[in-house]
Amino acid sequence: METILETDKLTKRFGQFEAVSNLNLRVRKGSICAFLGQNGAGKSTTLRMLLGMMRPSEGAAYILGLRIDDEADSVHIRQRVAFVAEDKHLYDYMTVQQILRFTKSFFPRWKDGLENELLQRFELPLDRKIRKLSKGMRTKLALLLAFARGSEFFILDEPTEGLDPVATEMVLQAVVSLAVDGATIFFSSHQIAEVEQIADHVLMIHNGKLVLDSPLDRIKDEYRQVQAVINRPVQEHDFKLDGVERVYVDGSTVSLIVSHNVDAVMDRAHELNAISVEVAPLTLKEIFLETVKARL
Amino acid sequence: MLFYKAWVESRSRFIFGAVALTALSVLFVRLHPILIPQWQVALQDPHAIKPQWLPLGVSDYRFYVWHFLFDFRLQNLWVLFAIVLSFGGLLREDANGTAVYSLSLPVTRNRWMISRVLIAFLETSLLSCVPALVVPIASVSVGQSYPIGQGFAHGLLMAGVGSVFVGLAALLSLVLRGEYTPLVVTVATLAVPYLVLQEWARRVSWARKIDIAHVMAGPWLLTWGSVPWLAITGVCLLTMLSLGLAARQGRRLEF
Repeated sequence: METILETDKLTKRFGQFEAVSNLNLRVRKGSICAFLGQNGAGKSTTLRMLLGMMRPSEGAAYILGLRIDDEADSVHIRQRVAFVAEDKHLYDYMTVQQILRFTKSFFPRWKDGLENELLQRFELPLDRKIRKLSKGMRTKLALLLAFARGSEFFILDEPTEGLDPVATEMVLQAVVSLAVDGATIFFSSHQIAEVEQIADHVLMIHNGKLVLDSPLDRIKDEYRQVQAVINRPVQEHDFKLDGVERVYVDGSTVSLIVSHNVDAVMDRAHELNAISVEVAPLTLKEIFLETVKARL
Repeated sequence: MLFYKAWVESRSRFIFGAVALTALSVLFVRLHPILIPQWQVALQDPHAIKPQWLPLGVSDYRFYVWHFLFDFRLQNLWVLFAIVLSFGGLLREDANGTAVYSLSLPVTRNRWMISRVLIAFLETSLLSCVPALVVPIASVSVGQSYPIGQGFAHGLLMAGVGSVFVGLAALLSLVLRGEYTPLVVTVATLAVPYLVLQEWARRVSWARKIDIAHVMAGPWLLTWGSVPWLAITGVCLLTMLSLGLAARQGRRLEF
């Protein structure tokens, strides 16, 4: 499948601190790709590099085949990519109508129909100054300004932050509609439930490094928690197998987080004379927490 | 639309500047009938301290207007507003959080800067025309007349030479981070030396050669032949250099 975003050892340093380290990402065309990570993991730095706001210290990245660190290419990227930043600050001296008119002028493929539909759905007052909008209203306006651009690729940093559950649902539906129409979505979120609801691929970074890159279905199918009761002393290295992400030993009980290769792990437990072996699926939230914990 | 944004951002400062320059122009015109009798008395008093310009100030209304407005207070106020109107840009937007939105639009950083600087040039040029329109009208109320052409000539000279303040303020706007601190620092960096030099040049004649206020004022009767072309060329080069450095600095910034 065609790749819309590709990074090659993308690195960003601030002095001695490496905020993003040798990042190799791939986002396939037409996918809804979630970009997960703790606060400070390097998500926003990565997104800002992709949009030409920061220069990479090393490595390269391409969006729609265009180089992010070339000024002319970067303008073409921003012509075809819609970005919603985490903080969603807009020009507060403009009215809703003024910022719509202003933004629209840069995008020849602006979708007037979608603009009107979202204006109604989000109940945004055209003549109100942005400084007088609530945080939720500003978030909705920022999303409208991105969605109506007619872009092929949407980069959304915490798109539903500050929204109530009803508005969140509306936004998620709008995101899915964009994908149905052929757009590619790359979004970061701390709301794991939202990720599970709409994403088809998950990328996770921790301390600037990619720690998970997998389709969501595969994660759900393959990530398992294996719990074994073994009537003899067990060490962590007894389960040093491909696919074992984390091992907790508590007396005779061994708890394992397994990303794949569950059968081999169960075989090893039986080899160690396990009294009982139980396998349970993991939620994405548990997988996220375990992946992060494993690297602390 | 970039011009529209730059205008919406700065229009309240521009309107405030226009009102301030109008008020100052009217004030000095209305002071004329009050000051002239006092100066006439001073001229006849052998013990009074009389500045060199006083006889001409009493006898020629055009000199009076030039001396108090284009060579002094009005010019000072115009310089202040030139700096204030040139203040802004992506670093200020970064301080109030909107830079990311601006930078997500398909616009080069040079275009952002150029649109803002061109609006600042336009606004400062329009401000320089305020006295040219206000003084001839206000003069009628004190029984005087002032040629509108002379007002425009002085105004445009002030704006042309004063464009260096726009260029330097644009450069400093891309060097200093923050929302209002850069404005204070820019005013201190540009306006204070300008005022000190202007005051110094009033007492030391050779200092006039490096006094930009003197060049901005020009001769009191400005004719095509008396326009300081060499100084204007020098100042334009300095403005272009400032803008070139600002463009380079703008490309290097990270947000």
